[in-house]
Amino acid sequence: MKKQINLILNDLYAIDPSLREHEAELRPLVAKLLEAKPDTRFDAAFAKQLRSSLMAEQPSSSSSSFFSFMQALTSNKWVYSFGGAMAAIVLMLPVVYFSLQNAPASDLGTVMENIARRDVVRNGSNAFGSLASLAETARPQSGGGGGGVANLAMDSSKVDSRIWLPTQTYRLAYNGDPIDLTAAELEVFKRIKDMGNTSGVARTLASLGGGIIDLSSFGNTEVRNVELFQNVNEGYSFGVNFIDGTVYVNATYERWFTDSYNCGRTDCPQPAPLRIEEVPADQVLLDMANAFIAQHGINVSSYGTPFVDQAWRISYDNTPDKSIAYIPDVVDVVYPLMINGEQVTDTGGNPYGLRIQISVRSNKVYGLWGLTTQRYESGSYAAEQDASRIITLAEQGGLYNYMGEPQADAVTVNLGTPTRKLMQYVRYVGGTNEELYVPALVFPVNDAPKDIYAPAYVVVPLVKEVLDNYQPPMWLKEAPASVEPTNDPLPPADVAQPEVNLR
Amino acid sequence: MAMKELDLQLVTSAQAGDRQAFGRIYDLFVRDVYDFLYFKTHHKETAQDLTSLTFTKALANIARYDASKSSFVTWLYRIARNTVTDHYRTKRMTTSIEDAWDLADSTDIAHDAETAVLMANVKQHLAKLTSEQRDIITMRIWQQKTYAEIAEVMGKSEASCKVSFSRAMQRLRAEMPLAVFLAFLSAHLLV
Repeated sequence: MKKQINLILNDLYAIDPSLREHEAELRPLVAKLLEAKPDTRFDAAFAKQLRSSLMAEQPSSSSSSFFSFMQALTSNKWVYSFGGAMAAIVLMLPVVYFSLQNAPASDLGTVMENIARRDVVRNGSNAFGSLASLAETARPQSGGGGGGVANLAMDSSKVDSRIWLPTQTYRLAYNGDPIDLTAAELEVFKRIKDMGNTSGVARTLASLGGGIIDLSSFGNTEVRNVELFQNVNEGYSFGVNFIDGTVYVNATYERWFTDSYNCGRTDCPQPAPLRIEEVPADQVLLDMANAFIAQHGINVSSYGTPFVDQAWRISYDNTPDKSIAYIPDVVDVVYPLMINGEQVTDTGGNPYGLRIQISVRSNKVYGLWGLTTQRYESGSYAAEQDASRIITLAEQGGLYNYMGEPQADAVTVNLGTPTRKLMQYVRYVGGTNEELYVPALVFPVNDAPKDIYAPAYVVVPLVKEVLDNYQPPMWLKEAPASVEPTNDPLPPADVAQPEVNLR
Repeated sequence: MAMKELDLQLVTSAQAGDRQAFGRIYDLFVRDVYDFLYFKTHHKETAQDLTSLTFTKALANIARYDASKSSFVTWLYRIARNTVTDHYRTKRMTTSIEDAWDLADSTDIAHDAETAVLMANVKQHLAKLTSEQRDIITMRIWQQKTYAEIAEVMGKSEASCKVSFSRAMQRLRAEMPLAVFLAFLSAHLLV
């Protein structure tokens, strides 16, 4: 490392010789940065798989028949006639194509039905197998492979849950009503992403290989996704992912902000920072979002009452000098997803659902995210009925906050009465992502002082198996008796908290 | 390094639809691009998703790449950078966040626990730099790229990147001298 440090310092001195006077500070600074380098865990198997996928993708050369087909399709009045009706994109793109090609569309009926359906297929107990991994992911990783910064380089065979976490300036304390947990079992949901068999469409599309390649020679083909775009400035790209069962609309970024960010040169002028008075009022934002939904026939029957995401205002309000406070370019209107009458949140307790993004600079909808198929299957799982266990976990920050040990002079922040919601959890299984929706209690963090950086919510899942497999962070447990430091031992507790030393 | 070895003929062939040529370009850059994206997202799966998106976009648009406007490397990394920006814009975040460093609170954004811990000491300081300065620092110190390589990625002159790096380091020095000194002592001298 010394050689690397010297190399970097010599570079710096070559640029600015006066920096040599500060070597006593620069040397540890460079060392610190080098030590902080994370292991990116590059996965060669992933790279190989991605390469294979790219090799199988349809080329987009301007001479290819597929590209020409898509261009022709996007300029076809039929396409504009169904505008942005999101479900209609899915339905009509194949229809347009099939009407042109007079091809059989036996599988389209199923696809169309699946998009329109909103139902829950109920299965038996433990329908989705063990949910233990929801706790394993929540648990902080063991410290092997760390490095000098946090002094984590322990022998992982001896220590499996030891981790350094920064200390906190607050502690959480439950101050809500008694919690009544009577249900012995709870329903966990999984979204059915599959839109149906698209092999018939794929077989017909395969004829687009033209004279370059015989795509029909590949067997078992299906359609993964379809994307269209508006060939105008401030237009949208929109498409359907048949594998994920999602529909999206994005601003075609390179065609937006063409007089600033995307001016076509390397020295594009940067627009002036936004002023708070330029952010439209909430009702104006809601009206814009609702108008977009109405204009494009977006079905929001599975989503609750919309609201304007105010997350950015927290930092704005906490910045005393408003002249340097940050104003966002894009503000979201959120339509919270409802499943079986219950609101869905992410693992941080924030409402999850359809987001209509509005560009403040353009005063126009910038994109849409979170519009998905609404078919679910469910399975029952044993529920945690011990309220005290739930409260204890909540006071530790829940399962998904990396909260450190409260300092001796930590202030107490109250947790309010929780609300029962469904927590979305994305589980990686066998190369695919499953969207699970798990019953959980979401505790509001009430009246945290402005100088305390506390989360807005704390989430504790109610499935007993998840809690049984959760291991709290090290500071909540006694140190293992057999810990033998390797080459980079944990220093004493008062030195092991660099966060304290930094202040 | 990969970008020095890029044969422009490969790009031309890929533009003409030669998939094998694109595959060779991919082989040259996939690791660098993935690492670049990881340093901007701090999460393996997110970096993989964005790597996938970056190369998918590159493949879809390679016919539109104009060598007279920028180098291919600049073009590819611009896609990668925009992909990161779009990723955070389409997440819950409503601000113009450019990468994970800009996230004041990442508790509900996926991140690797070990990386979060490793970066705990430096994140608050690096977060005060511009996204461009962070990119230059991570490329110079973590990826050990030469200034010529960094300049190509950033689409700027080598001199400009050197000055930017120097200014970033001076700012960091001003921000955290006592902190890093104490941490340096604890890590290397007191054990």
